[in-house]
Amino acid sequence: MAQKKPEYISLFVNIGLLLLCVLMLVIIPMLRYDINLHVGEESYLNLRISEHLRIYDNFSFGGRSSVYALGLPFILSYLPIFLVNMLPLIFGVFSFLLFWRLLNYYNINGRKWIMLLLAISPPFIYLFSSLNNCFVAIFLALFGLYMVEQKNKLAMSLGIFAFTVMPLFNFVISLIVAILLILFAFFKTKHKGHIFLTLGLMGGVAAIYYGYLGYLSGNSMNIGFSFEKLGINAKLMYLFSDLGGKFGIAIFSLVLFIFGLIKVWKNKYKDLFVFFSVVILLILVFFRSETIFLLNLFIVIFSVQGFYYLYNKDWANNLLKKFTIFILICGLLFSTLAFLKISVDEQPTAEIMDALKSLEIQRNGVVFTHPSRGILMNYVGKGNVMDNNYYFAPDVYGRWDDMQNLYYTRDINEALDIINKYNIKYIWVDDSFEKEIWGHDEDGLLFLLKYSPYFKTIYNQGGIRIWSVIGSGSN
Amino acid sequence: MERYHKILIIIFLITLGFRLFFVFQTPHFSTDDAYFELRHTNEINQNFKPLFNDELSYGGRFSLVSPLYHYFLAGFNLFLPKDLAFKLIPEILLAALVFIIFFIAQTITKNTTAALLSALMGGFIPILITETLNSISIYSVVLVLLFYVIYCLLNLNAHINKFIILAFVLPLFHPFGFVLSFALLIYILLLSIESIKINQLTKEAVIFFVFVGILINLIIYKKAFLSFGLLAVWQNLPNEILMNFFKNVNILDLIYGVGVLPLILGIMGFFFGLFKEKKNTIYLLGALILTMFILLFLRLITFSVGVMFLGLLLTIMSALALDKITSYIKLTKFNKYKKQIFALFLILIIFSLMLPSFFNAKVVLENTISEEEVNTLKWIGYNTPKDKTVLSSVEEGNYITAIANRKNVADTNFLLAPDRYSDVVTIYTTESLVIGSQLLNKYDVDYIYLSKRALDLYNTNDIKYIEDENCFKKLYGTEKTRVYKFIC
Repeated sequence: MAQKKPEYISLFVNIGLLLLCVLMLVIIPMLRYDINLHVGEESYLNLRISEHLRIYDNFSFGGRSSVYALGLPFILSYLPIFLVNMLPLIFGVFSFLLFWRLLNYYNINGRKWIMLLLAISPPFIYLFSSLNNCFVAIFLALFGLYMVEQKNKLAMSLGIFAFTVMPLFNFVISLIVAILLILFAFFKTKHKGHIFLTLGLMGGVAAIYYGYLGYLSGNSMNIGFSFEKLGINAKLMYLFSDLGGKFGIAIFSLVLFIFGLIKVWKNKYKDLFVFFSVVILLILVFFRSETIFLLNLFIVIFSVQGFYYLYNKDWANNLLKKFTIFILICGLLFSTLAFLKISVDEQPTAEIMDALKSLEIQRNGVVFTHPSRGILMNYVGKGNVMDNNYYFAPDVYGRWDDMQNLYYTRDINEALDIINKYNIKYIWVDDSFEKEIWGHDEDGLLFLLKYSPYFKTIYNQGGIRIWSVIGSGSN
Repeated sequence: MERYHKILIIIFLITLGFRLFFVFQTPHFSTDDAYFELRHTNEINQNFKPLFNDELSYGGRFSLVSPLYHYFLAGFNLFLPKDLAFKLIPEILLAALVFIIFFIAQTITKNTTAALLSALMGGFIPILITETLNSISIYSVVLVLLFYVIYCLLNLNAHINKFIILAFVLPLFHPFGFVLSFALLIYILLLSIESIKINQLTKEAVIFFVFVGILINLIIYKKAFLSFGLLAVWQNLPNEILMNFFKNVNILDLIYGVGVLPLILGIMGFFFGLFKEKKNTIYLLGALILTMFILLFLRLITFSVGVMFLGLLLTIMSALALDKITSYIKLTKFNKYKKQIFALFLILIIFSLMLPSFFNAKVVLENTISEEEVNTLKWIGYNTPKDKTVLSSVEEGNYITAIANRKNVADTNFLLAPDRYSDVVTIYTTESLVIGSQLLNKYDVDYIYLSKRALDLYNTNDIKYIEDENCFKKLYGTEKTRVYKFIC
């Protein structure tokens, strides 16, 4: 008969896991803190909006309605300097504990291993290391789920409230969570009424909030638009951290996840909520990258089941077993370490921040650059032609076409027409997207920038070049 | 020693003799890539460290290579004269493939004669000669290891420890082990579809092999995966040459590369094995052949490497067809002519494999860098400042770094290298002095090594503007090579 472990060992393990979680979540911000960089471009968007909470954004798309999820900037606005680094960590630790409680509540095997795997999983680390638009929503989802399952009415009300405000923090995550809640209502919970009430409230808040902002902007939602036309390779790249995904899943986690699925396959219809949730998330992940954060919660659970399956099965050769387990552990650790290293060197880099400082002191105006740089231009008080936030943005398709034309034209008149149309004052090109757009350094716009007298280089360092537009008639 | 052992050794000696006969006809190596291997091995000999920060390639770049092969060769340099080690060791390894082919064929057929014939064919696959002769090819080690892994898999109970060691060693040499991982997964899938019980140990070995392969390749080629994702399999090859490396397979190419005899017998063996025998071992080889076809059709594997590997697999499968044919002949009146049939088969091998291999080997030698070219490159090494950049065709880039010991503009190690291929082609083919000199300035070119080989490659008579005396000064010239200093 198995001997029960003394309680103090269990306590040490619990504290150890919590400390590991904190350590993982502070590593990237700490290593970037020295060079005063936040993680990811979204951090800069949220910081900027939190400083000027308005209904109109003067800089994005050259000026537009602020149809953003303003929940996070609203919280940030109280103590931006302190919260910018602390908020993800605080929410991360609470989410970690909530997930742990949920595993206890549903009595899932291997909880400590699951928590260990969660703490070192790239999507979790990224989610709660940066000031992105998803972390509060994920926290609210975990908090809401935990609370609605309580018998206490106050707790239940808090749970419903958490789900209700979720659309103010992230529309897409809220939509996915709503789908999961429907499955939850059908297959898992006894509190069906509460769930449907929650769904109604979530839908109501989302409709009123985004409907109102959308109405103010006067633009369509542009839900079908994406400036990144991703092929299968690019999609696989963002899905897996080992292939360069900013917050992708570790390949060895996926391998273990598959073994976990094999283990439970015979009993797949026993828990239809989990079965359908995993299937839906696996489909959605190809369309919306944010899905990874939710999928990751299922992946860590199944990965541990997969690990148990491999560890406990009868092996014909013990040496093979030991090596296989060793390789799996090495693989998981390697993915985490590689992810941490990449994230520390991730955009925006110190070189970009130097260039931004130089741009900041220039006269105000619109900067033409790649849409992925748009948010950073706004951060230093300059407008952009386009950025990543294209929901309800004005004339997205027209702007996209104009951008493409400007990238590839060698005709100065055509270029000046577009420049004047958007009142462009600066052009920013950096190494990280230059190769993505142009094959050679004299293709299209690069040719004009090099030889035309209408452009003057005002910055050229660290692979970043900025030109100011002069005498185009735009003044 | 049994009789078949003696015959096998004779086959090995014939194969080795054939290879060495050609290899020692030239003091040089037959491919530009050979000089890449040579330089990286020399670096290890001199400094005991791999050449990751290559100051000469592309004017200075990070070179992503797995250095184990270079350490392996450097090890032989300790007790063999340098050139002898580079010439001898790869050829011995490639000739030794006949042993592994024999033992695999014997395992699946239990027919010694068929296995011996299979081994003989395996030594003379035409494309194997073209791709590996006198080129310090890494495939000399990779093919031996790969087929030995297959042999271990077929006899897993007896060779499990060797299998475990090889599972670690193979990916350290070359990412080609991935192909085997993919094939093993197809093997498991095939057996599952056919409802054939999979041996527990085999299943575990496959899982282990796949995991080790993924981990080691992720560690070694992390930078490539992060930059290109799964497109790393195309090694960042420029579009202009991608289609030649990863071209679609057709029957004529297969006959030319594999040889008509292994192709026909191999396919026969494949169908016999898959549809009549239904044994696990046959399914393993079948899965490998199927994988090769899939990868070739999807252009996920270099054409030459894929056909080379396919050729060896079909040779092994030929043993199965030969076994069936000999069994059938025994039942007929032709049995009394079995010696004549055997002789006829040997003649067929000579005509369909040995002769094409002979002609291929001659072509390889004809394309080998000449004494004249080597002298010119050495002249550059002796007569130009050390830090200068020399332009050559991309396909001669490794000659510049290894023989002239100067910086090149581009070479064939494309992985993580900047894309310069089309610019180099433009320099050679444009008629405009302005465009040419702009590009030469762009890459800080100081000297141009102009060979007939490069002009033929880019299908041009000459660099049209090279005689402009304001920009180019001729420093050295032979019948097939010239060296210019770029001065404008």
